[in-house]
Order: sequence, then C-alpha cells, then structure tokens
Amino acid sequence: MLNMIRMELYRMVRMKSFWVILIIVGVMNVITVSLNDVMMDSPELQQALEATQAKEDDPVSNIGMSITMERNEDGSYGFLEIITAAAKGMLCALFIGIFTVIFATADFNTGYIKNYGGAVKHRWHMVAAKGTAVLVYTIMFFALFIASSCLGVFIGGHKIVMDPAGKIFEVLCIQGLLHVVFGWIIMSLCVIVRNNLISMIVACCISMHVFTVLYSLADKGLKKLGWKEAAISNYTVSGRIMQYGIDSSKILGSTLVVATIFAVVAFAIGSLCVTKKDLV
Amino acid sequence: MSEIILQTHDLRKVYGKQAAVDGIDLKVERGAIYGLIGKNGAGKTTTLKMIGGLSAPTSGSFTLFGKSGADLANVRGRVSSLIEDPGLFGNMTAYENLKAKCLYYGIKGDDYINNLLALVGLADVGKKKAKHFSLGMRQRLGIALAMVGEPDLLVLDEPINGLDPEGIVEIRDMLTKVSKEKGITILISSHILEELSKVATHYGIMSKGRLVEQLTAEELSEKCSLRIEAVVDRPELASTVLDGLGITNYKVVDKETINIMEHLDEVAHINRELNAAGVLVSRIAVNNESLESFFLSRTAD
Repeated sequence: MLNMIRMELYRMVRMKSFWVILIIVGVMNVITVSLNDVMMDSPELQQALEATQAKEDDPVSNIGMSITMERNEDGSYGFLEIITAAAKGMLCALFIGIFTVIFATADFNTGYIKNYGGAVKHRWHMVAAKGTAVLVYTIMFFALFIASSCLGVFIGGHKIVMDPAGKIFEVLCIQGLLHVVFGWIIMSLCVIVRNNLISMIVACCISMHVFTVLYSLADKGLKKLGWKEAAISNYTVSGRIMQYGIDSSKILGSTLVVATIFAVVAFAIGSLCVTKKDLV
Repeated sequence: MSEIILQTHDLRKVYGKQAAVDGIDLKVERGAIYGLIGKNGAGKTTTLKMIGGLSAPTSGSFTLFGKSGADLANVRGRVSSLIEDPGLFGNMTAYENLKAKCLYYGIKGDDYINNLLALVGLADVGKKKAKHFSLGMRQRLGIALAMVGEPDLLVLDEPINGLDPEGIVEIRDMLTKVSKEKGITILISSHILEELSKVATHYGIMSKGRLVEQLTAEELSEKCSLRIEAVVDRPELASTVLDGLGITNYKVVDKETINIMEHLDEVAHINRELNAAGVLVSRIAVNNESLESFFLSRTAD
C-alpha cells in the first residue's frame, strides 16, 4: 500500500498538468487578487455584482462562477476573507476537479495500469493510493493558493488583517477537508466510468453550479411533497464548500457529517468498482 | 515430472453472448516457455488477461503456484504481464516509467533500472519521452516493465510485434536467457508459429476460444519433420521388418500408419522389404508438414 502511494505520488509530480495547473492558478491568483481594487472601484462592475447578489435567492439563475472578495473600510483584507472568497466561489474546487480527472484517469488511458494492476493483492488499495495523492495535491494547492493570494494583496498595496488563529485553523481544515472529499468524489467517478470527458464535464458542472439547477428542481418537488425547508445543497459537499466561511461554526458538526458520508461512499463505490470490473 | 505452476480448469470468459474463451484447460510447467498460438480473435489475449489478473473469468478457475480461489491474491505479485500494447506514460522517459513500477515493488537503486534498460536495448535513450518512442522501442520498454520485480511467471502477449528483425532476435535471446538463468517461466502468445518455434518449449494451440492441442517442442518437431510415411495393413509385422533393417527411429502413429524418421533415401528398399515380409503397403512416401500447415490444419474453420 505504502509502495503504491509512493508510485502514485511519483507519477503525480511528473505529470505536466500537475505543474501547469499550479502555475496557472498561482499566476492568475496573484493577478486577480492584486487587481481586486479595479473591480471594487468600478461602478459598472459594482452594478453587475449587485445584480448578481440580488439574484442569490433564486439559485436557478446563478449558474457560473462568482468570486467576491470584500475589502475592509480601511482598505485592508481579512486573511480568511481572501481564502474563503475563492473557496466558496468554487474556484479551488474547479482546479482540483480538473487535476483529479487528469490524474485519476491517466493510468487507465495510457494502459499503465496493466503493468501493475494484475499483481495488486487488494485492488481497493489502488483507490486508496490515488486518494492519498489527491489529498497531497489539495494540500499543496491550498498552500500555493494562500501564498499567491497574500502576494497579490501585497502587490495591490494592501495589508492583510489576520483573523484569530483558531478560526483560521477551523476554516482551513474544514474547507480543505471538503475540497479533498470533492476530489475523492471526482476520483471515484473516474474509476467508475473510466472516461475523462464525462468525469471532466461532471467536475466542471458541479464547480460551475450547474447541478444547482437540479438541486433546486428537487427542492421544489420535495417542498410540494411537504418538506417545507428542503435544501438538497445543504447535504452536498459542493453546497457546504459554498456555505462554509468565517461565521459557520454552527454548521461545523453537520459539515463534518456530510464530508464523512460522501468520503466513505465515494471510497466504497470506487473500491467496489475497481475490484469487480476488469482492469482492461 | 516438472512442477505445474499454472493450470486452468474449464476457463471461460464471455462478453455479452460471445464466448471469447470457451473452457480451456492448459498446463504450464515451471521453467517452460509456453507458446500460446492462434489466429487473431482466437482468445489468446483474453486468456492471458485472466491469468495476468487483469480480467476475471466468467466461469472456471485456475491454479497458480498451487494456489487457487481467494488464495490467488497471495501469489499475484509473482506474475507480471505485458498485454496488448505496452502501457506507458508518454510524458515520462523510459527510466521514469520503470522507476514508477519499481517504487510499487519497493525496488530501490538506479543500477537495477539501468540494467533492465540495457537488457532490452534501451540503455541509450536518455531523456527521450516515451511518446516519441518507435513501436519497437515501446515494445522493449513494455518488456522491461514486465521484468520489474523478477516475476516467477512472465505473461507476454505478442511481445515481438513491431520489432525489427534484429530486435526480434534480441528479444528472443533475452527470453531464452532469463528463462534459463533466472528460471522464469514464460507464457507467450503469438500468431506466428515460426517465431514461437525458436523459443518455446511447449505449445498450446487456440482456435475460436478453445485450446485445440497442447504439445511439447519435441512433439511439434516430430510432427513437422521430414519422414517416410507408410500406410500398411499390419503395423506390428512392419515394425519387426524395420527392426530387422536396423531402423530404430520410427513411430507407429495409428493402426495403419508408421512414420520412419531415418533412411529417408531408402524408400524403395524399405517398400520392397515390407512387401517381401507379407506386409501390404498401400502408400509410402517421404513427407513432411510445415509449421505453417500444421498450425493451419489445427485452426481450420
């Protein structure tokens, strides 16, 4: 198992997409964060932002990515605001999803899995090893994201106001966990369908809130059936990523439950599939 | 008798309604180079996939190193395979592709990888990415990957595909060498009997998902060599006559056919002696069966 994790990590860092995505995200983040003032001070963009916010009550009309980084009155930025703005906007999930699809389908697509798949004693180890690599990638992604965001703020000539350490720890851990579980869900999907196109479309659709339309439709149906406060997105990993921010301690427990259930289900289905299906 | 390290029992693989492998029973002895031969679509690759652990049988079973059923998982690591095209990461070098698999097997050290690259003739490829490799180079790297971890059973599916004549000779010599020196048993498939005949010690002929014949290299050689084929009414008496003529290398094939593998230029003399002894010879001629015609006769529709 440990050897398989070593192999997965080795091939991960040798993938071109690993570096390309990290470099693109890093550079893009520095630029967009440093230019946040342009958006905040532009009347046209402010108007568009207000229009978007006005529609937030109707999720069906809110497809696409929306990232808003609020500035303090003195021009500084809160540390957690920088982090959660992009996380809640699903920007991190989008890139983690894209990488996971490329990574998790690579050995199936190239046929490399034939070189070792037959010798594996317990095939669920393959899912666990890939999952560990996705976990490592998510940690690296978040580290880069935080560093590039801070750099962007400094380049933009602003200060960063640190939030309480406990709060930073809580939000980073929960958002990190939710993103890892999101990666695992996409990884399991890749293992099940073994098709990078379908997996990529699903990953992008979740990240770009396309599935919110389906959730809304289901909510309406459930409300008609008598569940007046139906909100399926509250029970999804992507929904929790969008919700969990600075003042979300009250949903900490339920978020952990949602993340755990999805993680277990993703691993169980992925492992079952890789065990039962032929590898080639 | 040599130890049987692989034995299949009524092994079947069905895709939809089509049986790709239809109940085969093959035996592979330790140290053998077992050539599985058959036309395209005969079921060779599917058989090798099942033995290599990449695909599960629809029904039937097999024993590997004396283990079967759930215990098979314990000996899976002793089998390595190269099935169909070599599976390579195109953006990695030959070294890196091997390094990844070495990590899985817990093998450390550059020397091990460099020796493998030298063994398959890829010592000089340097930093060239696998996606820029020729078909032959890919095939060599695929074989090197299959050799990682020094398996006890090496399963190779048409490994000489795409190799130039020089490469074919090198790979053939390499397979013979690892089989003899390291005691690795090799299960190798091909649709070219001529090529297999240069390395294989045992053969299994497949047609339409079935194993139609298993034979040793000696048996194949015997069947395909030049011989006097005599059709007689009394083979026992004919044997006595042949013994009297000092002929020892002959075989009574069935109740009316005798194959004589020596004195091939004395057909007339043998015919006369048989007749003189009261044996009725209805046909006698020097005959042989080429490998190709032998194969075709076993796999004919």
